[in-house]
Amino acid sequence: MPVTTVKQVEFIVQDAVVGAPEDPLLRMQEELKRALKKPLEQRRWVMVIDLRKCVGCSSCTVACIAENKLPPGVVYRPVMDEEIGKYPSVTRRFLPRPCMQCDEPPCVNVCPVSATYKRADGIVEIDYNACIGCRYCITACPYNARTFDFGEFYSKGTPPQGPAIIGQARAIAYEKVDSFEYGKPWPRGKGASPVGNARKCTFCAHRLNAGMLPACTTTCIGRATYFGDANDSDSLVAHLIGSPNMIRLKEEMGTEPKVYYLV
Amino acid sequence: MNYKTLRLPLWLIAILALAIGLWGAYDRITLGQESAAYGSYVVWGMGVAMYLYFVELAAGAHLFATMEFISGYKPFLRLYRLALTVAGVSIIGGLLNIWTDLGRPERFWEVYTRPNPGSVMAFMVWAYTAFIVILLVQALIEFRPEWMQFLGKPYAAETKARDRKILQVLMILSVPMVIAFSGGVGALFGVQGARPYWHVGMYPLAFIITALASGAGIMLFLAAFFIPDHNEEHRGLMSALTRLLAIFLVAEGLFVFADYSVGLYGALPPNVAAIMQVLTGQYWWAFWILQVLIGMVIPFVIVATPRLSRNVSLAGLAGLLVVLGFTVVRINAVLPALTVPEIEALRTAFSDPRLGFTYFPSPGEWALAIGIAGLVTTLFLLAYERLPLLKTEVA
Ligand code: SF4
Ligand code: SF4
Repeated sequence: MPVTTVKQVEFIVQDAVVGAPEDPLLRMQEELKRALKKPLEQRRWVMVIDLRKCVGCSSCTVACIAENKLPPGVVYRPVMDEEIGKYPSVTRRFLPRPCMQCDEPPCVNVCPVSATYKRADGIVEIDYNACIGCRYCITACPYNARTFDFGEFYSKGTPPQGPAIIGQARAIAYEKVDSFEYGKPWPRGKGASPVGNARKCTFCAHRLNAGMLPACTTTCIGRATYFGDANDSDSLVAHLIGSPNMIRLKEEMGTEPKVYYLV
Repeated sequence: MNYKTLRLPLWLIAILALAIGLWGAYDRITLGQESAAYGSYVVWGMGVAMYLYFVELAAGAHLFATMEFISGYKPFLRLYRLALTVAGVSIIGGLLNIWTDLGRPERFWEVYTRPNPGSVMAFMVWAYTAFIVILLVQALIEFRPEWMQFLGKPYAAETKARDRKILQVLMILSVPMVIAFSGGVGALFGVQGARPYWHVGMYPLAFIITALASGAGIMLFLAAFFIPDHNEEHRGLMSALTRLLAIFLVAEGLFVFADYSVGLYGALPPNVAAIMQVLTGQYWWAFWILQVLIGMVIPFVIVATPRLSRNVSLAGLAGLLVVLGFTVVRINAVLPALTVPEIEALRTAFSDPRLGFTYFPSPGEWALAIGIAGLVTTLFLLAYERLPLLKTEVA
């Protein structure tokens, strides 16, 4: 049985008296439920990333890859790492870069077959079964936020399992597990979509539909990523995006990104 | 030098290229886009560059089919069938390059069934379709005397007069069409605000000039080596072609100079980085030696020097150098915009061979591009040897 220390008891008592700060994840979860009760077109999903809290651990990148079963060459949320200054006055800053779900998305206009489109709630999606893989949208995105699925596997070309390597068979099987993007299974067979398609972050639209926050948000160890409905004036994100220290990337492009950064 | 001398080497090159292309096609069919060396950031490479190259060759050549109609200069009529044939085989080459470059080539027809009218790419596909239709009708009418004869039917003078009128209408239609689609490919890049290197208002015009220069180059080469009787009319044709090529090369050079110098003075970091990659980067020689020296300076010196340009073989060589050197023009138009990250720190954000900002075509991409060029050459040589391309009947 776990033993509760005197210090922990002190904290529990203190929390009960003055009220512990609520974990933002719990708050955002409640807000998500509230938003899902509204019609699609009345929601306005935004993401806020507090760069002061991001420690550059890339947990969100990994969570996203696991959630969406991303193959080599495809990444939805890399964390950029910048070194500022010269030794010994060096500091680093980190900037996760998901798709900005632009309100004026240049990637949508260029698609020759309308395979990429903006939903009523602002999420920009790709219809994998319509995309012809011309990659025009990838060149049009000002944030390099789209990538292309070449149909590769991380395990391809790895040496046959020897006594010192364990788990290779499982890794190979894991890579072929269905992705559930857009709320339906995408078996990773040879040549089947999304192989040959453009791919991008969708704020985990399939998880939102199931009442779950995006994988990057729930995984962030620094609680640096916030997500919610900006049309809900009581939501955490609605408060945060009004902060004077809020910036968006490449404002001058007129893309109206829905990812905000607190600096 | 004439076609008799060139025949064997040309066929050998074409067949060798086709053989290489067969391996390239096998590689692409079995591995899909995995066989290509481009990545998720540098998403366009050899396939797109070669597509642009052949499409512009088609546009340029086709304009020479209408040159007599535009200028009223009769010797251009000798080029009519040759120009239509070059336009036809080049557009096949261009579209094959881009079709095999698609991630899902089996879905290409969606551009017709669910087009996005706001997309320049959709517009381009529609323009190609219209161009191919016009080209086919033009060829059918121009070759009508031959196929009527083949069918054992008479070809009356009134029918010929009517056909000529139809051809004239088609020529009138085809000029804006060709300008629209050679300029359209420029717009395909020019509209991209995210890429300062491409986002140049004059890009569509620059592409038209390139089309004209490459069209003049191929026509000069063909007029020199593929038209056997070097009579007075031929001399007139050669002289007109060399002058036109000189003008187009100057215009091309001016565009490149204006684009790069304004870009450098503008000092927008991603644009400067892209231009400097072309001028001084790893593949500086492709620009300075292939594009500028071989594709522009040497041909210009030949066609602009009367003593040299009067030599038919030298003039033909100048045309060939333009055709070969201009392959690099489009590679240098496509790649630099993509090899500069849109956010610098992305370079090191994620380690993956497909998430880098460098590109050199894979053996499969080379093979496929060479094979398609071989196919284009083979089709042209077959047409030249089997069809009466050196006369003009209806036009
Ligand atoms: S960030 Fe790029 S991919 Fe995402 S919506 Fe904007 S333009 Fe499109
Ligand atoms: S890659 Fe797909 S989604 Fe992107 S522009 Fe082409 S067809 Fe549209």
